[in-house]
Amino acid sequence: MDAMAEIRQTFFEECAEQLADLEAGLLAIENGEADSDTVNAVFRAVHSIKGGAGAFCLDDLVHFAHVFETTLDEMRSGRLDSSEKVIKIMLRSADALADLVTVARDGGTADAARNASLIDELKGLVALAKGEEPPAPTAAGGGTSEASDGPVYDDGMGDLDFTPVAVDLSELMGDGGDNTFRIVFKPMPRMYAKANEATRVLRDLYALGEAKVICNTAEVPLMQNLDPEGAYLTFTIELSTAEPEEKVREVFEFVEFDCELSIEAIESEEDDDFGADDPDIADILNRIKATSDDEEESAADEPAVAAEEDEPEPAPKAAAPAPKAAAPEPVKPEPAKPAAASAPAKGEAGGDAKGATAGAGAAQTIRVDLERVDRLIDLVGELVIHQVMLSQRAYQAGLARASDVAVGFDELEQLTREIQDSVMAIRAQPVKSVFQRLPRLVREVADISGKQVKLVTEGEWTEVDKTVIERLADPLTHMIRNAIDHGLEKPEDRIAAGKPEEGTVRVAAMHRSGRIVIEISDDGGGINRRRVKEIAANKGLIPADANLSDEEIDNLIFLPGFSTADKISSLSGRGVGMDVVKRSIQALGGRVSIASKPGKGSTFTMSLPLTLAVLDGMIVSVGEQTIVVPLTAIIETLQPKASEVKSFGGDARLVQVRDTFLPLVDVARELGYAYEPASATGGVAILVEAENGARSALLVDAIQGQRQVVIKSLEANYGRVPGIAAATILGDGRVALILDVDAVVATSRVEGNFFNGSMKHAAE
Amino acid sequence: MPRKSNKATSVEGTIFALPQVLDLKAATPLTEKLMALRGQDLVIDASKVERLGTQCVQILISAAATWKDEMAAFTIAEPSDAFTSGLQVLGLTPQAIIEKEVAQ
Repeated sequence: MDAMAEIRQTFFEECAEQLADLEAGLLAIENGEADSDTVNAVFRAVHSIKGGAGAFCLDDLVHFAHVFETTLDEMRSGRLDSSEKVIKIMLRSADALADLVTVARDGGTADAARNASLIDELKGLVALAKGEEPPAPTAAGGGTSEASDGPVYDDGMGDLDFTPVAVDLSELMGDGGDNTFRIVFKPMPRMYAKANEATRVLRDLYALGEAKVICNTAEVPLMQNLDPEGAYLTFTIELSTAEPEEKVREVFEFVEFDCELSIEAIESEEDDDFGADDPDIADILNRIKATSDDEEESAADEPAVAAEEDEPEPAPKAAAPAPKAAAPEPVKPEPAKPAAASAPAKGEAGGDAKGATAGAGAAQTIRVDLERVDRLIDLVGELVIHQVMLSQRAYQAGLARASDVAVGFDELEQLTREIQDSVMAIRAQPVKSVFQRLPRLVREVADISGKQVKLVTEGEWTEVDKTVIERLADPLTHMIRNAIDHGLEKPEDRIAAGKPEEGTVRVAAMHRSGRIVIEISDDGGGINRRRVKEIAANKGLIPADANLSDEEIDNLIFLPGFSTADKISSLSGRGVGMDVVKRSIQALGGRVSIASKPGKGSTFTMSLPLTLAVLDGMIVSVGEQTIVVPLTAIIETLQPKASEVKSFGGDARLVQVRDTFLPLVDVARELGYAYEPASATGGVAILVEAENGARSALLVDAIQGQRQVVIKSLEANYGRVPGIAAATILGDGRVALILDVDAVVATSRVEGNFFNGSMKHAAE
Repeated sequence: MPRKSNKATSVEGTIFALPQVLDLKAATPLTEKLMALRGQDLVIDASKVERLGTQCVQILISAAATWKDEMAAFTIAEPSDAFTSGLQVLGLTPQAIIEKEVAQ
């Protein structure tokens, strides 16, 4: 049942969006930035999840969502104050709801005890709002595994059917039969005007056999746009009857020309019948079916919307990105009202991050399979390469630089560069998708560590390539966990130090010189350097009498196996923290640094490339080969003089750069292009910064130039090559390898070169 | 459904009693009356309804959505049998009227 799986997937995708809206809304309320629309959006989010979950019989989810929604409704109607305590419970409920969604999607079990106690708390709030005594905790509050079999907790759902149900019409019905018809019946206003009632027609229909009816209300407008004598409902009836089709048609005899009617016989039940049992599935199905019509329709409407108001984004309401129109036939033109209704919410959106919280996701979007985008990016990469090749060949063939064709090549180059930038922008996403997971993380870590933490995020609309975002989450999680667990002091210590009891963790993202920079800062005690050094010495990571600068000590925490925690907690202290963070950031072509002030707190700064698809590189010659050195690693280049190069040990060399000596790494030897050491004075030394900020000089033969190159994975196309990060195609069509600076430097220091039995190390 | 009456009394708001007959002719007056009550928390007393036409159902669905949109409470209390069964024929329930998604 592929269609079913698709609907299910759509539901979970929507859930993820709703959950994000929910959390964003609650946080806005907590920060006092909420308006009535925020509360509404929060309510709608939970409501939509509940509705969808009902369609898939996700009972746990439905029950929890229902109680949650009821509580939110009290808040919405102003009976329940959004006090700090209330919001805390709401936020925890949002977390629980997210867990339930995950369980529903991926399987597993939810924390039944926690959910049950949250339900009690939520119900307590409702009672409070109504001025009643809070109800005594129910038996299930103690936490049992029964939570899954229906409403063991009384969630007040006993007497209501919240979603439209296939109504039991047995009293009205005749006997079922062999023929099954699907009838779509949409009355027109003139049918009612002729005093024909839909109810009468439907009753006549039910008399023929067994019927299930689904009422589609999606076209009913709000009161201000309602024509009291209009016709907005569409009925889908599935009728199983012994009568032939003529009899069914007879029912509609008098209304035939005053309604839209389709009657089709259904051959096999399994075929495409899955939606009929459940109106919500049918509804979703209709929406999916209607999407194409809807898009055409909205495309046609768009100019009208834009013309009628000054709103820059003629967008559907934020909480419902999915197309809403359900009827396949767009009968009456949809008024331009949607944007008007949500206009106040978006008025201040613009670029302002706070305002944008409310209006987030309001722009019109389409969902596109990531593979398609990747393919496009690949193709554009090829285009860039071919464009360069073409112009180079033309010049080689003797094309004059001043000719019209050359001008045309220049224009083509600009155009391709622009296309490349635009395509890259498709993949760019705001870091918000990562940032919005943080509040929950902070809450949980704060709970476990017994600290009070306030999370401040900045620049969540900063955009970065999707692949970077995906790989950003883990290191960021680690670092925030560390900031709270190690960075912030315990409340009593904070008070003693004259700081507010509540610690602050700030996460900020910004663009800086073509890279994205993410800062994680806390206002805790800063790094205890004496202790860090002590621990490092005890663990044998440094000699006990090592003389280290403050910065070097700070960087010790990135060493594998380093841990300051006295005992292993569930949070941290297993010594797999910061070194993993550092490695994963470096794997992304990024760097991480620390600034710490005793008593004031620490700031960790991550700097990452905006994309993993292109790279600015320096093109250099090594032996016979052309190699690309990533520009981000390079500090400076110089031509060593004979007096500056010192030999020591076997054939290791150092180069003097101003007042320091740096190891001189002969790239040609490291990569196995040459066996004899190259003459240091004949080449160029490129100063690079590798792991731990350690600097080295890479000796290459010559620099050819600097340009942006399209990264082609070697692993995917060939296999892993030690010392090489990836490959690219140059303008002349040759493949050039991109140097893995860290690996080359590290290997040269330890084992000479990659071909002296050091493959294992390099492969790590 | 024993909780229903309990529910009606616990909900506050202006009580609006639906007329006995909600047919085609009742549609426009019903819309006007409801429009006049916009913004107030509303309890729709459906206990007297004897005939329910499709267009009045549309109006109630629209009203429920409008009230929800404007963050006012909209409740249907004490639905009569005729009201409930009238809805049933259309594939609806009193609660569904309040919960249904409409064109926003």
